[in-house]
Amino acid sequence: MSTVAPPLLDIESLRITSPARVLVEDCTLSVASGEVVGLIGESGSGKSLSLRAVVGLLDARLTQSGRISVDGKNLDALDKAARRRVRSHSMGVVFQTPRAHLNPLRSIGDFMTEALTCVAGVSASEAEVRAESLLEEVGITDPRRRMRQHPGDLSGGLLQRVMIASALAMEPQLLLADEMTTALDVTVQEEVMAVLLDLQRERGLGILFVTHDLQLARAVCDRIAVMSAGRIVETIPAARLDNAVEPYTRALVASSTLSRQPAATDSEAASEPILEVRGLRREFMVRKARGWGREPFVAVDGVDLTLGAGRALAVVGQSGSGKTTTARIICGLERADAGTVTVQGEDWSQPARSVRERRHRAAMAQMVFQDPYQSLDPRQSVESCLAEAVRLQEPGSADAVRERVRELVRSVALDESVLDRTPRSLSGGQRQRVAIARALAARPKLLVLDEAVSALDVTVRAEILDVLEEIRHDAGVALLMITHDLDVAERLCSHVVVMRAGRVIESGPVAEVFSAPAESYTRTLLASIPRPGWVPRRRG
Amino acid sequence: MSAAPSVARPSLQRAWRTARGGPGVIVAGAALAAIVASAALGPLVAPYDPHQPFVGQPFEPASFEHWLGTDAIGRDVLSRILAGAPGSVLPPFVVAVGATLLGAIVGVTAAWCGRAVDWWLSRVVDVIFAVPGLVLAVLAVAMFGKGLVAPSIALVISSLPLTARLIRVTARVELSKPYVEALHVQGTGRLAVWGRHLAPALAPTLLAQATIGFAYAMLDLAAISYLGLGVQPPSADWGSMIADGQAAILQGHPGQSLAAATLVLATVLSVSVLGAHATTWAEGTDT
Amino acid sequence: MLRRVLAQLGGLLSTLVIASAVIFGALVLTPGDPVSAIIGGVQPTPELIAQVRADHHLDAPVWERYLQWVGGILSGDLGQSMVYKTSISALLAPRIAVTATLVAYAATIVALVGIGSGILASRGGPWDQAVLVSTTVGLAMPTFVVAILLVWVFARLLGWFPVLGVGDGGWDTLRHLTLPAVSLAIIYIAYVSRITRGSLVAQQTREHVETARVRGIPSARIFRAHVLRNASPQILAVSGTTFASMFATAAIAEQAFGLGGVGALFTEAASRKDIPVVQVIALLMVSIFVAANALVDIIAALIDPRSDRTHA
Repeated sequence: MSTVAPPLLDIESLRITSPARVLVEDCTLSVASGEVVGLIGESGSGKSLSLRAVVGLLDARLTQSGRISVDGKNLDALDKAARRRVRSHSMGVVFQTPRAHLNPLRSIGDFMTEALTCVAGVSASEAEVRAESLLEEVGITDPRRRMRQHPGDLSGGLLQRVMIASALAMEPQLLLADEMTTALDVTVQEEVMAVLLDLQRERGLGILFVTHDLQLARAVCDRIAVMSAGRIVETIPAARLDNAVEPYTRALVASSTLSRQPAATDSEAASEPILEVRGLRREFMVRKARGWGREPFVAVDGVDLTLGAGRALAVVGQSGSGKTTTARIICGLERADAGTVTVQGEDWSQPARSVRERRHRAAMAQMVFQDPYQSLDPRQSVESCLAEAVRLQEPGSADAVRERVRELVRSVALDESVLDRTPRSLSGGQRQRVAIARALAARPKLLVLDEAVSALDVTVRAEILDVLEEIRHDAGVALLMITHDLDVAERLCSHVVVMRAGRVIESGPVAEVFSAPAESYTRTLLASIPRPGWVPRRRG
Repeated sequence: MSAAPSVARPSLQRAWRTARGGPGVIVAGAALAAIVASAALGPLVAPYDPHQPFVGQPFEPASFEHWLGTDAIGRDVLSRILAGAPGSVLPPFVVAVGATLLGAIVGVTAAWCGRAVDWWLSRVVDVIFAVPGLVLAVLAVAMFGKGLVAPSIALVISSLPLTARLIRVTARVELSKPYVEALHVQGTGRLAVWGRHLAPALAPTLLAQATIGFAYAMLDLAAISYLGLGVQPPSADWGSMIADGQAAILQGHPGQSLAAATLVLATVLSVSVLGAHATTWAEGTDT
Repeated sequence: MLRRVLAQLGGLLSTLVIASAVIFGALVLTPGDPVSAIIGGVQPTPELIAQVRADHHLDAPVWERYLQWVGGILSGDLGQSMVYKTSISALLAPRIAVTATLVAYAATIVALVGIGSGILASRGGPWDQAVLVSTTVGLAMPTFVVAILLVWVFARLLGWFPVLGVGDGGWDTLRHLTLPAVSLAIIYIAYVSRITRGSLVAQQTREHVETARVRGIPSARIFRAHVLRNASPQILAVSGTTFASMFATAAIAEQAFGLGGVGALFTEAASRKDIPVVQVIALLMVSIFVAANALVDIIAALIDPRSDRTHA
């Protein structure tokens, strides 16, 4: 690391305030040439806001103070044109959702060459040649064809490579990445990270890597700044993360590494199956890629799974593997084209036909959805929401309902004061607890959790997982966890089913499958999860 | 269900605070109150017989006897405005309410029944959308003769499908939200889902549609009367009074036309301002 | 893309067929005897009635008369006016010229002022406020109200513009049509301005525009290549329907300024129950709407190369 040259990026005492409150305070951070610096924190910690201040995308209603220097030039000391020049020439930015960050109406080629022709004044033909070689550098084959295509024609992983390539178009030494792999599947994340780190080494780039994923950050970064509630609480070398002194950092590390609970594996003795799925199949009609009309797409293709009473089973897989559709069929939100679903000896293969039947099934199986912001009626208070669920199963006096509602709230470790509030004023974690409480109102024997902790911050996720484990252990509720996160599966479940492209490719006890996977896909899946010492590799 | 805590509503205080709004809202509210009062009581309190010529000289300027002056044959303009108020305000109101209610019924039915009804609804919407409301209203006059009844029905027909489609889309969007699936899994009956959860979600849209519908109906019906296809002499509404007074403008007596035009404008503006405000307020209870 | 355009055209054509059938059918089923309307005040003799019924094909079944009617229109025979006793083509020809000029004039004003002020307002600041207030008033200003205000101020008080007739062609016609065109344009200016502002603002806050800003693309180019271009399909669509409905609203401007246009003829025909004329003009209005929409769809398809436009 050179100490003579000024750092590529030097942020000093950055402070960002909205009219109502302070959002970021005393943020000091630097990125030297050839260095990858992680900026991690939970949602609302101010990490993305700080990055937006650096690139000049802060909302006009916010005010910022402090000093941001790029290549030793203080941005505030420059006039508007010079500031834009420094930003466009000295830094590249990669955002979270590449699809939203590319103009859908313009071709990839237009996007790649735009900055070169409009900002650097390169000729159109020269820009095209350079764009092509950049795309090749990020591992895009047949770049000439890709450049004629539009963002809608490319997958998310490819688009993120295009973003990386375009961020490097002006040959900057500094790259800013804002949650750049958060929207991607783990195997795709690994490929994109491999591309990024190769470029970083070849070009000696300095990278500010903003992410909520501590495991990913510690695997790819040299130093890590931990942000919480608008402040950087600690900046330490990634290797020393386990020895952090700050309590917040320690808590973050602890909740990011989910330890497996012995309770999840204890009951080796056979238990009655509560849920049995055999040969489940579901096709959707999708628009054909070419020509007129529609064609069938097999979302779920002959799925078998068994869940014992009071046990926890994880269904893992990447997006498009059919795991969510399977869960929806079990809960009667989707019909099956073939196969059977049996819950406690009853045939649930098709959705309930009458409200009575639905209510009967509700008393046995309940579902918790992924997005806690959307799974509660925004106009309904928590009390009204829970009371409605209680009355469906146990119509009783107002007092009895009130008492049961309070009991439910306590069972998910929420304070009774949330009862008067509407979902809008609750945090994501609180909302998900309400959703779980609502599911428990029917006293179900089976809880289907569709990515129920994926949208939550790690510390909240750990708490919710504790609540779920308690429910399973104490009330004997069987859990069917639909998740893309193998750590979550390992934390809570004794058995796992791995799905890919609608099929179950491997299943068995978690300990066996995860330590000695039989299928190469499972191995790839496990290998692409960032862990200490993980090195992303390009595959295939 | 009476003992149940109902769907959360903003507190009365907050409602009052937001409903009060800015000065624009107060002015609009006062103006609309005055217009509604004149529509309700106007014909009774009119100082002169609106059809009686030469209660004054032709084209008298505003005076204490004739607050808005007199027209070409010496009729009292204020009395004619007041007498025309019910005929100017009531039909658009009926059209707006009718089109919104019928549109809501059709839209909700389409959302409830699904694809087949949906398909037919969008075909009907496409065709009706291709015929401007004014053309349909004139067609109605050609079929059933002059007057405001046929054009009013035509305007209901012309705006109903759009409301229906909007309600259908809004309902579909709401129904596709995960919380509705959660209710489904929980075993909530369909009627309860629609009555307790969907209806409040549709309210802002309906309110907005009703106010927009009123404004358009008012302008279109006034246009029909202005074209001489609506209210027939000696009766008058504001639209026909604008037309009636137009010849006098070139002689330098714009009073009657301006008075009637001002009222049309004031009504449409105040309803729009209040409607926009009410819609924002209703949406405020949403996320 | 060709596929999409063809599908659109097919849909519009079917709309046209259904609309024409409804227009024809409704007016055939009109209460009252068409014969008496045709004959007017003359004492009807059985021979005269038979003659009239034969002349107007009143005895054939409705669908046959509909096909005859459509066939006639396609071959250029629009039928006879019951009131004027002349061919409708002869009645329409001079009036179409008047209305087309008026609407073209007004549409030009709407496009320039409406889209222009929308762009101005999308930049924010005091202009945005000014445009917001004036479009709120504008949206409540129907053609006939604007017309009397213009007549009063510009014709009576200032005497700048003539208020009757279409003038002697060229510059004089333009002068005669200025007040009518402005009165027709005001409410549409407000509407188009609002839509333009709305879709531009929506595009300005899109993430891909942020990307362009971060990359240092000059703001003029961002506006042109990313904001305006992405908003243009919506602005175009609204402009298309606006243009089409101006043909209908033109009736009011024509009445206000004593112009002998299609709209004035439409009003007159409706009030005198001249059914064949009403039918033809209603069909004309619908056809203009369908044609304007078809045109807009084709242009939008050229602007937006994607096969799936749901994310526009």
